[in-house]
Amino acid sequence: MTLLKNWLAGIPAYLWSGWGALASLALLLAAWEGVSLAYGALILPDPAATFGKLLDLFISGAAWPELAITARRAMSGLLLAILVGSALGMAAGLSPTASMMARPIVTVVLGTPPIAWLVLAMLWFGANDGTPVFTVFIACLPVVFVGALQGTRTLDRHLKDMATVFRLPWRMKLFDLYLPHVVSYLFPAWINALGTSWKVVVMAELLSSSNGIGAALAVSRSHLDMEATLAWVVTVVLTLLAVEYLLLEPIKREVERWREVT
Amino acid sequence: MLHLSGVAHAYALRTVLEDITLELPPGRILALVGPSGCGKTTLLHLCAGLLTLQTGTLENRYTRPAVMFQQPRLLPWKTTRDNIALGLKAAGLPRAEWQLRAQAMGHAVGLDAAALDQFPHQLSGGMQSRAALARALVLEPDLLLMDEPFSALDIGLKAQLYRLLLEHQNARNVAVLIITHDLMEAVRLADTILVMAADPGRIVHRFALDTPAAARNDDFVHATTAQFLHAPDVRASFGLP
Repeated sequence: MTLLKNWLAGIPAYLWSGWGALASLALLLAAWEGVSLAYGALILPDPAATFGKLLDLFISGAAWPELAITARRAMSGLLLAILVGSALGMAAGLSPTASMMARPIVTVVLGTPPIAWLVLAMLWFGANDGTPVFTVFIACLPVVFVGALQGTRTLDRHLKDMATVFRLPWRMKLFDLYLPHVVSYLFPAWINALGTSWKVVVMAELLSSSNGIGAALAVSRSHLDMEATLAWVVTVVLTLLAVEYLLLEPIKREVERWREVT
Repeated sequence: MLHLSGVAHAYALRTVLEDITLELPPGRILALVGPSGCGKTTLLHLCAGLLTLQTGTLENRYTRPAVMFQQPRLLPWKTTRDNIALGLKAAGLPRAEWQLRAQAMGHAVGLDAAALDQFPHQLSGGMQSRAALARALVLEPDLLLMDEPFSALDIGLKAQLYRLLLEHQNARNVAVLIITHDLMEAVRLADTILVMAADPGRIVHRFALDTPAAARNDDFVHATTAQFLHAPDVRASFGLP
């Protein structure tokens, strides 16, 4: 509850600190506009047209269902990966043997391109939700797993001894000893996985689904509708930015408050 | 009663402890002194149950042991108050009670309300040591194991914490095993001093003090330390000519 309250209270100051980021985004828009002027609207529509189209899509209500479908798929896959990856990673981190054995497997899974998983998933799950969800899951899993593993491995031995001596029960060891330390490794991994999940889900939908933002992208591409294509791309990017900077980043600050006070 | 007999310990092929025999009855303070690397910390970890006994017998009848380590080892993400209360919370006490008792013990070791609300890295080294002492004492232990607990502190702070420790020890009849390389500290606090020598770690000298710790003044400590340093075994152990 205090977490929620602090999160809400922190937003204005946090947004104010975002002017620098906004300025650099404005520069990017200017460059976009420049390229558009140089090559013409058929190659690259200008930002105004793109955002106009984006607004149309949202006002007409066409964008919401697609966005909801994509978000559902990405979040299901991501949530699964976060749950499974965090639990497995922490468990593996407790045992030197397990973490040694996990390393090459993680490298293999991480090294397999998401498109390869997608092809397999299409064979296994067909053209339903299972395909994008599985692809997102398998692409995010190793990222989260490694974060949890590293976090658990790097906990100070001295603190573990202290916990043993003071007879901390396993629940306290988890919530008062391991999690607060592991969180500073897990959070960046989760944010990383979030980015991966959005990129992968759009790719998976583009190739395997008949709805969702990826499918909408495929349709607008086949109509050679550059404005709509860019509008969808902007939707994906903006949603990702909103979730990361409005939700995860403030939570991370709150959880890591003990680090910042000096 | 803590009783060790014929205890030996080895890391791989290196023997660090050999034939350690000692006894710690309730209410007594036993100091272990010796040069660095003579296996003092290993011995304490054996007593605390952090290492598995390899050879010999170790009998520990105390039911509420507490440990104070060389470094404060406070959890950086918990306030000082919550750190002090750690053992109480682990014992399953209700929140209101462990908060109250941690607060009282914090005040007793000289940490004010502001310090109790701060995180460990905001405190000075001396305050962190106080918090670590409070975390051990708040459990009302019957056995206190201390590993060079005051080695990083200045003499004024040391004197304060000695007084706190002795008051608490006296009032509750706590048995204390304290490791130190500071002979004056040993002479000030202990009823019995055991001198260890290295390679392998073994006990080479026993020294008993009859004057009660509370009655020892600076002159007594200086004189007794000088006398203690005349023993050939003690000089040899520290490599003094």
